[in-house]
Amino acid sequence: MLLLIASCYFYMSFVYQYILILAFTTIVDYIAGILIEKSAGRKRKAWLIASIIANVGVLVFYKYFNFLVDNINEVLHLFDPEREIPYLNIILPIGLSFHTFQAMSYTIEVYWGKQKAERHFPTYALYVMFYPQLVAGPIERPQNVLPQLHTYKGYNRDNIREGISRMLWGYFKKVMIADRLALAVDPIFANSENMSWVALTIGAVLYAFQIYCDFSGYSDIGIGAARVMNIKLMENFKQPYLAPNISSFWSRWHISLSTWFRDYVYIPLGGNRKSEGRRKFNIFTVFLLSGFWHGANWTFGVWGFLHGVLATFFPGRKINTHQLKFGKNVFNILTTFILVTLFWIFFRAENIQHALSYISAMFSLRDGSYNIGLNNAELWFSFLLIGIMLWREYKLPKHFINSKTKYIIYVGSMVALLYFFGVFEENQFIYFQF
Amino acid sequence: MAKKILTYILILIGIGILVVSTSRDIMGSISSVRNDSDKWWGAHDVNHLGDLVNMAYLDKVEKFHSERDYAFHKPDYQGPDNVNLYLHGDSYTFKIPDSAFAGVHRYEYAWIYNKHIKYNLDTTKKNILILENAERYVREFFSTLNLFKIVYDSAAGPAYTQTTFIQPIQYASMPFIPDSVGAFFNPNINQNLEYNLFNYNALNDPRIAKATFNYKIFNRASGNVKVSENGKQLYLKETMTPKGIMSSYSTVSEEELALMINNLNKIYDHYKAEGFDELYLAAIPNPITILEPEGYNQLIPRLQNDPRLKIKVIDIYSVYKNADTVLYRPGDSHWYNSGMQLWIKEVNKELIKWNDSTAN
Repeated sequence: MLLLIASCYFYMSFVYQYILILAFTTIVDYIAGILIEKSAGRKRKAWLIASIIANVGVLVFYKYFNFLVDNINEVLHLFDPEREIPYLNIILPIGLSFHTFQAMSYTIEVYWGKQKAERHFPTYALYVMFYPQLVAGPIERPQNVLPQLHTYKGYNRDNIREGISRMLWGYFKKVMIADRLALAVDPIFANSENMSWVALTIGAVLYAFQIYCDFSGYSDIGIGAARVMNIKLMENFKQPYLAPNISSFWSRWHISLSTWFRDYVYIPLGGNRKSEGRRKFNIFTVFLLSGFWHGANWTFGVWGFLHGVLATFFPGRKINTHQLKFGKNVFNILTTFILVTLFWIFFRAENIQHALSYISAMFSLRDGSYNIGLNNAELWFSFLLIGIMLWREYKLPKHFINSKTKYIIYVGSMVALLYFFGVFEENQFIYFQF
Repeated sequence: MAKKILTYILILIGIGILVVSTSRDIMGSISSVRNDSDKWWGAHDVNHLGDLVNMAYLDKVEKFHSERDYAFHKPDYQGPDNVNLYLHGDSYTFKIPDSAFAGVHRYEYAWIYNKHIKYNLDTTKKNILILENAERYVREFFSTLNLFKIVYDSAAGPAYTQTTFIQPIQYASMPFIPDSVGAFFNPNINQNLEYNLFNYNALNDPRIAKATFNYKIFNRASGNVKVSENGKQLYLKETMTPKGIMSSYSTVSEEELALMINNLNKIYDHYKAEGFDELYLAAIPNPITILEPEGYNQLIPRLQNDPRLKIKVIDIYSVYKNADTVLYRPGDSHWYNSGMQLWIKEVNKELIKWNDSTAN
């Protein structure tokens, strides 16, 4: 109960009125879960559809309404320049996409009979509002979290230690790397029309690492904070930039979202159980939806489309990190990284025109401004930090430190490093906007 | 048992800090006490060297330091004092005394952030109202919701409603939750927590060391402060970002400009109806607007020169553009004495005109 109150307070700190939106979907899904379990046949399906409509309806209203209106108005203007549908003056409730997907996974699992409907309302509410992962994931599954909440045994010293060191690693990625890179990425993208090709290339590469360190850093902090409270959340990243092909990349990047789409969209659409053409269509659909999940903008659509094309026609074979041989895969890793980095430009750009002009300027080898917001010393320092981060995640992926002395030294030196070298510019986490 | 007690004590301390940092009243009391306090418990304060120097902890970087050198002279004016001057201003003008203005019979100053004040105007004099506003707040005041308060809270005058002025709503309003709940969610909670947990003089040295290191090695200031390209000036970050309504470089659409003009005209009509003889808008340019004009969004000239605008203008932007003196303090977001004197001179020109008009 205390955790639920804390989670509500945490969410209300952003815009307190928006707690009502979460309360609405939480109550609807709680009731729907029970009704689905009690019903059979068409009625059962009807309750599931009602729950999905409520969730998707809220998401579409807040996230996509103005985008849809914008596109309809574009068409209307073709016939009558004066005619248009009015926009709504609303901002997206923080983390609504994450909350909605997690809530939907519950009712779908109950419908499939893989999860019992939760009768204890506060426990269910905590599952969909647990603050470490409420606003930017990982998008959890009921089978993983609900049993832990039911059998909650309080704090555990080892988990506290592991959680704290995991959180510190997340902060390292966020304030040491991501927010430092933002000092360069923001001005480069904002002034891309005046930038030289070198600056633009640096901007694209730095953005690839910024978004990784920002998002996976948040996941580390969330997973670590939950671990401190003796709750184990699912992993969300596994060194995605070491992926030798796009298939491997997506099995390592935002795992909770890609598995969500696999389980609740790809497989229900038929997965690979039907024709080859249908399989390709399913993959492509998933990536397109995944693109628009990130935001109501065509840039995200194009980003999803490009990944969809690659994943559909050049997926490659999934390779786990421990199977990876660098010497053999270095070309593939680099090629995948370059493609993913190019695609990120669409993700970061204001609009498609911006992305296209950015990319064409990058390949034009033109001269221009090199005012990238970081001096050379800090640029090299950033590359050093990125190198340390990649090495550490590859070589030392675990966060539990057995020795008490080593643990104290680690925590102390990390806190000192974060304090002295951290960039505290009040930058929000990038994925909060989704 | 001892562990349990310790846990509860820690939880209570945490809640206590949160409550204190959330409450506007308690924070007000704390900051008023701590600003006067000693070298251990006081808050970092080298504001006299420059507000940006203070924000960025650049205590050891002397090139940005400058003392406030404001000097107020009695203007060389011998005419009548038939003008009552009302100045709604901000931190640029709040220290200017009435003696600096020419021919002023009565002078009243109010913060522009305040809600509307109903004046009892002396109609035997000319009543002049100046709205002085730093450029970084012009858009917030005139194109979003803040300034509507001036009219909305007025008991008299035309009955403008909130919606007359209000612009983009930040979030959809919700039923069932009373506004009083907002008291538990202070939008400045981050700053307040930092102030209560870390902003003590006893902790200054590491912060100053970090700021000095960042400046010397990475050539940047920490926090909300940026170093100019030539390295001679500090700027408030918000005034130079590509986006954001405080920035000199973010685009101002024609739509927004029209909205600002519309709002200013409504304000003009309102105060004219209250009995003021004239209203002036005096927007003080951001330092970066004058010092690094390439890419400037032209907010002030576009606003001032728009023929739809009814309110008169104290055009300090043009004066500053052609000035050959140093106008702004290097480590501060405000002007030097020289910058202020130019502004007072422009105001006095208008005041003398009004006094002359009464003599005829």
